Amino acid sequence: MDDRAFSENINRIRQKDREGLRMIYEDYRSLIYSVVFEILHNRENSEDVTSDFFIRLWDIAEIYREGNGHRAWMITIARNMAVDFLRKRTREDLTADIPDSPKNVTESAEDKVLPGMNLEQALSVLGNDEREIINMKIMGDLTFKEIAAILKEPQGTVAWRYRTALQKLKKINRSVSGCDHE
Amino acid sequence: MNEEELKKEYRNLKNRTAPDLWNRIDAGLTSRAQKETETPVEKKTGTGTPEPKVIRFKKSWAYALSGAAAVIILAVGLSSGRMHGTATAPIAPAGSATTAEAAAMAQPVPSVSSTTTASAQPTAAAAKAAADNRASARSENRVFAENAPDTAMQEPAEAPQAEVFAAATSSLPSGVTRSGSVLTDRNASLYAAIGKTFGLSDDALSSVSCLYTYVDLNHDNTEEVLACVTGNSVPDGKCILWLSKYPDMKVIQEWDSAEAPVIISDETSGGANELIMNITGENGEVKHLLLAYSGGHYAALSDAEEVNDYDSIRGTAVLCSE
Repeated sequence: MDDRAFSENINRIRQKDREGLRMIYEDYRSLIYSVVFEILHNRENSEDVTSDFFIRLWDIAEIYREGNGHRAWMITIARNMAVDFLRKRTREDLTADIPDSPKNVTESAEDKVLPGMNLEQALSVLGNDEREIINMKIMGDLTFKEIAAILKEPQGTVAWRYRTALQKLKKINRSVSGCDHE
Repeated sequence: MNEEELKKEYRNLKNRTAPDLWNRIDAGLTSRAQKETETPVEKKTGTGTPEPKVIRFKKSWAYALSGAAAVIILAVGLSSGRMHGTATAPIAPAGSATTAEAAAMAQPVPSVSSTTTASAQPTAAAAKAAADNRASARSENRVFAENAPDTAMQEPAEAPQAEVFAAATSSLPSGVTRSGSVLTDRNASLYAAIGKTFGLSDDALSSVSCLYTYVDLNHDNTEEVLACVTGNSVPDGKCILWLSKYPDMKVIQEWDSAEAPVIISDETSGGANELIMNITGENGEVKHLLLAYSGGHYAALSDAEEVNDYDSIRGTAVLCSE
């Protein structure tokens, strides 16, 4: 969905037309869910926050302004909601939730890459920051500048991490697909 | 597998694993709409008068106050000679063993209502000291309000103000007048608008701080608000917001990563004063960007041109720290 189509749907929401929200939801549910999941690492909680995000989008449609990139805007809000959720849960001492994927994987996890891994397994051995950047770049189609602004990291660092992660994934997939004849 | 194939497979994977939550969202909206119809209570949109914030009195504050009061009474007694010979330490409740600790614990007291403070029965001297502390803290906030805001005000929070003042204001061009009007109070309507813009909860919002001032950039004889917002919940940690004031405070435009002060140029374009905003690059170099106005909006930072001759700019700098 481009900026113009997004704005049209936002206008529909402003007129209390739920179909506008539905259109945005259909296009971005995977993006928002994956952004939230990369922070919460728990399916159930991610579903809660993703639902809340779209309900909040209904409320805040009025203040959306064109021209600053709607994907970056939505991702920023979704990340804030996920981080806030995490903070609240931590305060309530409910951190015993078992994560559905590894939370803290170091960058040296490349050593753990095994031949025959599928993409999902390969992603699980990337670092959190690498997975987040990969997700925002591929699913959100954001520029490195936008990702850097969201993560509050230098643009060069973001680009480097993305390239490193991509190389790891490509290596894995070559192994899986049997194309690695080196 | 090449990069494009990898991306395609990644998207497929994420689309497969994302659950369909539409029924839940739809039901949530319906249920909320029904509730609003049943109970016509004002929606929490931040545009109305906010509920008064209830400050719960903590037991530890009572201990601290009573401990401090006891110490002061003892000191006064000793100095006047009425309690000569009773130089033993006052009995302090657990958690406030020393005067220093008691004084430190008493710090949150300034935000407590007078009724609550009275219940702790501090001495007149303690009350005066607390009042002096409050006055001192306020003077450090450097509020230079010329226009009293028309919305509900709250005590300035303990949010970090220093970051807001990070940008240097001493190096303004000679043709730029420094405006002394900058407000730092937690204007309820303003903070509600900030919360809505960035999708922040009350907790996240409490960590945000803001400088703001009233302006009329588009010469419609209606004041708007120009605000510099900082905090971890804000994109890039800082941004400048331009907000309408009437009928509700709403964000007209935001510039992420822009810093205070903002120069309102004497030059106009499209019926509004041009703006000069600062951004700091990765190497710490400050860039001055000229934002022209057109079609009801200013240029985004990404579209703005860098100011060629910064020193020749004429205008007024707002959101200045000093």
